Amino acid sequence: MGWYVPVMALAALGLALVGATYAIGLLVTVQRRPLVTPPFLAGGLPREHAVSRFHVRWYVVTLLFLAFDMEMVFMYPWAVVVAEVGVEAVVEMFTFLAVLLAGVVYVWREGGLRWT
Amino acid sequence: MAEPAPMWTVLVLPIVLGGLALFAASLNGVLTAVASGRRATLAEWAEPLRASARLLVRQRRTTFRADVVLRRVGIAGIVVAALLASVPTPLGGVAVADLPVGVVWFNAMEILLWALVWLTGWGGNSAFSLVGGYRFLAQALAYELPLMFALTAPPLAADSLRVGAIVQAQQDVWFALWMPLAFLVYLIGIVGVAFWGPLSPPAAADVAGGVTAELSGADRLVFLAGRYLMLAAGAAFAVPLFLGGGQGPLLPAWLWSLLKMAAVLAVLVWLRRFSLVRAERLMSWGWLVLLPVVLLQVLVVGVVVLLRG
Amino acid sequence: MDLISALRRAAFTRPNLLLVVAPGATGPRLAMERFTREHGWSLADTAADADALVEIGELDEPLTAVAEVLWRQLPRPAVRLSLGDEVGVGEALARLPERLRSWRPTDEPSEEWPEPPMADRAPDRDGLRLDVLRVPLGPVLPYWPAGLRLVVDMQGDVVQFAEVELLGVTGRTRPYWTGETRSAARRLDAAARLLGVAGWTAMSTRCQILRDRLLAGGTGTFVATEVDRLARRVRRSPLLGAMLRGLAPLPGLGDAHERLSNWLAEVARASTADEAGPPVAELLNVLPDVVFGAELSVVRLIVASLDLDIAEITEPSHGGISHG
Repeated sequence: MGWYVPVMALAALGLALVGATYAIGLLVTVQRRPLVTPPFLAGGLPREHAVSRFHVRWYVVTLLFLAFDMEMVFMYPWAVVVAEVGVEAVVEMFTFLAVLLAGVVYVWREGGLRWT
Repeated sequence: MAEPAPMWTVLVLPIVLGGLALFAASLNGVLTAVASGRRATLAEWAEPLRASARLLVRQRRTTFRADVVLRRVGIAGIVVAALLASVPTPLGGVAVADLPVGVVWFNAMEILLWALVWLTGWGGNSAFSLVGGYRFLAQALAYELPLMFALTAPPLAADSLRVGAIVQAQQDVWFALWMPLAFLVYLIGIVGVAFWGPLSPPAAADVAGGVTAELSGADRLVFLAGRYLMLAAGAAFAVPLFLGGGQGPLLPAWLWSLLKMAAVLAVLVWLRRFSLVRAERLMSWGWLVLLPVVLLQVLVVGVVVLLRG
Repeated sequence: MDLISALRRAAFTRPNLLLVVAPGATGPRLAMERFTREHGWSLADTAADADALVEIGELDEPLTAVAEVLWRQLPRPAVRLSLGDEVGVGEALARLPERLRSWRPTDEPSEEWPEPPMADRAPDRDGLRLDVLRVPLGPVLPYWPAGLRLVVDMQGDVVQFAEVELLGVTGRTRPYWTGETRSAARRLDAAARLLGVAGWTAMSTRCQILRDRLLAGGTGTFVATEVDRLARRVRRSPLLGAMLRGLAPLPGLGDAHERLSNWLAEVARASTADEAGPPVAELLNVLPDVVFGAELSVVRLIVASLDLDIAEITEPSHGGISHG
């Protein structure tokens, strides 16, 4: 656990540096009160709030990503036991990866990687 | 290597990483100046300092009905994430903490930007910054997996996730030399994480600066500094991972580390001279080219590890 | 306190400018771009990063309204100035840093803005009902044609509907790009914009430098060789090719990539007069259809690849042209 003392200290220092930047800004700025304005719209005004349900046309890819992302959980521990376990570690992992890659090929053929 | 480094390293890290980030910003300014037909004078090298003064003096700005909390978290978070990502990065032989899972730690900190950049884009309640935030996510889906697999290649060869052990494993030959594809994919991934150069559509001019569209004053300064810090953190981590850490003749190890970090960073900054990559193209290239290539690289490394016994 | 005043002095040696340009006021716009490039200033991408709002040419009522909206979006200190022609550009800009330094806060009342509703839903092209945002593209965007506003409905970043509005065209609007030298310079200007939207800023700046050299009466052969080299690099760039190939193919004009290559090739051959493109009104007519279903970044590239000069619209547009 001793490792995490310097890590927490660094996180605190990082936040302090950000805070100091804002403090210096407050000290030297010519106008302390922030400007509140409608968003920049090329010279127009918004007709509705921008925060909305955004149409992510790449949602198919997110599923594919999740499959691989789960695989990454095994990948790191696997990396440090390959020398110990031997050939079967490499064969098993890459058989698994080949199955996932088949998924990539399928999504590609279905046009999931293109969206316009 | 076994005991934690002294606490002063916590103070040194922001100075070194900040210095590298400033170097990146200066180099960027000088490249712009030269491209515009101006001379690379001292004033051009100092331009980021002047630009920072400008942002500090200017009024801050929030948009109408902005999500102030989320926006703040996004803006400030990138600086902190970049600093924390560098915890396992050794300068010479000394890191803030040579964590037993240092590589995974870097991965975890770097991936925080998915949330932080998106939050900055979403929090502004502005159509252009919203589009910028989502562009980041679309790009991340393409580069992140290749980046993560590239990150596993050095630990596989070194038989350890500890960055110190990875450096030691490169005593005879640098990993960049016999796993060049993993090195290359890693660099592409870092360019994506820092949405830099060809992968800068999240903050591009075509959407009025995207995630930066509504930022001014200290907010803009902190956000842009975070981006340069992240680019620097990625360049710095490449050195222990692929370039033998502080190994080199004559000069002290910490200086070798620093020189190599600056060199990698300069290459990344120089990439701004290319045009942008469209998100859709990146998606195809990431999944159909980068991913198979880096998996092949990991397979080769695995076979080498087996042959070595 | 001395440190603070030194900081404030240094802060405004290189201001960022946001330009509101009237159609046809290309001369002062070019002078402005040249000044900023030579002095290391920048053109701002957005109001949030601008120190000065510069109105160029004679703004009609709608464009004045645009300037008014933007002026209230600029964080302080900010300066507003208007320039009629290229003669006064250098002088007016040279005074800008001092004007910013001497800016003092006034008790501006905090603005009241009308509260817009949340986004509503509309059917999309795949038959889903999705949130839709109405977003005006232009008239003030980086590398955007002066006087054009393309109002789009976006679902995510896909454009589902577009409508053209023209601003700033008056009875006194005259096109700038006339005569042989200027026609060649126009090609470089268009290339600079398209390359700028594509994010190839170094190459975009190169086009601007050569454009200004042509207009300043630079020797044709030198510029032609330079452009020839540039054209080859543009043609061979795989990244740019992946970005522009196949975009908005038009009969006789080719796709965006071919249009860009042709512009540069024309300048390199020093023969631009032979064929004028289709009139701008015709291009504006097809624009809503061409951008339908395209991603926002693609819409930006398409508009830049058409080299629209709104000043060439012969009759002043009252209420604008509209298309569904």
